Amino acid sequence: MKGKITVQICTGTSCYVLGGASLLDLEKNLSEDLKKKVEIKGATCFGFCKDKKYGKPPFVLVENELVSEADLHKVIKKIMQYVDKVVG
Amino acid sequence: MRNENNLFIEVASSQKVKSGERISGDTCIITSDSKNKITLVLSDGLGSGIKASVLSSLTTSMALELFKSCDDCVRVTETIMRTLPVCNVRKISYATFTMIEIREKRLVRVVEYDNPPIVVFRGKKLIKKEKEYFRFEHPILGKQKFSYMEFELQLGDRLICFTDGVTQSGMGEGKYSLGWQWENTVLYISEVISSDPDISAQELSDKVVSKAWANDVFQAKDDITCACVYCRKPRRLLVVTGPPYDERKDSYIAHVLKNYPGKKIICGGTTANIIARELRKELKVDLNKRSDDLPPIAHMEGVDLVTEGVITLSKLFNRLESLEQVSIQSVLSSSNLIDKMALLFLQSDVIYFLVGTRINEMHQNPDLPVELDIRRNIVRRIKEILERKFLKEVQIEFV
Repeated sequence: MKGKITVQICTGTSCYVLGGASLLDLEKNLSEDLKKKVEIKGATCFGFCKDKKYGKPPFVLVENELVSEADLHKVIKKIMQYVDKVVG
Repeated sequence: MRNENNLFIEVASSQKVKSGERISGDTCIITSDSKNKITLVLSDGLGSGIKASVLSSLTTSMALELFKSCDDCVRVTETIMRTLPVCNVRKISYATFTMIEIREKRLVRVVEYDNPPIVVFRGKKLIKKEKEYFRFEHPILGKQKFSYMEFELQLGDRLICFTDGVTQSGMGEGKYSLGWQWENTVLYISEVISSDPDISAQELSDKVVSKAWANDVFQAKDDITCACVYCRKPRRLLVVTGPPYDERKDSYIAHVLKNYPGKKIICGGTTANIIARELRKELKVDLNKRSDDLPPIAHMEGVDLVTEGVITLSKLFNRLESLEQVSIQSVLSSSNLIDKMALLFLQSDVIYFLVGTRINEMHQNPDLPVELDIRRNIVRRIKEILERKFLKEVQIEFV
């Protein structure tokens, strides 16, 4: 097994009020198997909200890939994509 | 309440109501008159409940107004004593009082009428100040006397006054069958100060009241009140919130934070990022300790608390607004983030806000499900409430 997949959730104000609050429960929503493969971190404002080209908050970085308008479904899907690639 | 020559005067009081009563018959009012003069009046109304409360409130208000308008303590005291209602049956005055006044030049004046004598500590040492006694003939009560003293306040001085609910606590209960008495109360205060030389006025008065209450086996037999004045160096708190309008000021806010002599709070993720970058510190968001309705806090070495910005500050304002003097105790023991943050403010005397004025346009987006106020407006409101309600000295610098 290679390294864990890093998931960084923005906890800045805009992200938080636009749904980021529920993302903080991401870990609870992962299967036991996925939990072992993922490292979840909180992050202070990434600054993506200040530029429209990045889309809308909340923002999550999965292995440095940006997920905008993130919700649990989108983030888990993105993690799954990485599971094969990174953890293999 | 006042910060001059790096001295700060903390005044606080604590109270327990007589068991079975809803309202205290003791009244303690502390006022700060445009920061030049601090006045504390503690009055004990005869009996308990509403009647006693009305009498002691009347006495306190009268004393505050008269001492404000007239400098002659003796004349003012006589006037109060002559004006106060008298119990026709017992031929005793309906309310006693202690007045402490502290002036700009650190002159302390104390007038005492029938309350247990005031206690003065200089550091850990009990000191006796000479009192002048005045006697006069009251038309109903006959010979009356009150005491007056004045002295220069020094760094480390404490003045402690209390009502007879303290000195008579425990009466008839085992150890202190004749009541706790003044001497034992002073001994207790002395022990508390010796074991915690920096104890705040609030904590000390809380302790005295708790101890008296315990003497009464947690059913106060009379209203128990203690008030404390403590002259010490100010405890400082710095709050850095918001990124500076001009990015060239980023290093400035980091510099201020690094060199600030006191506790430090950062409110705002971007602000925390800027400071972490400038000071080359690690910033770690803590997802484990979360409050339900607030973004998580973060940790940075050398900073006491790192929080999100405007939501947290708005919640802090609401908490400070709802907080009553009597519920401060609940904040002390709470593990809730806003309470912990409020405690940092309440335990400081001088609070310095360094407010960045760059606006995050996203916060003004009408699509947001909550209305986010502009940072500087929230900070102004917090300043107002800290000054008015908690008598803190607050400064704001906008960058």
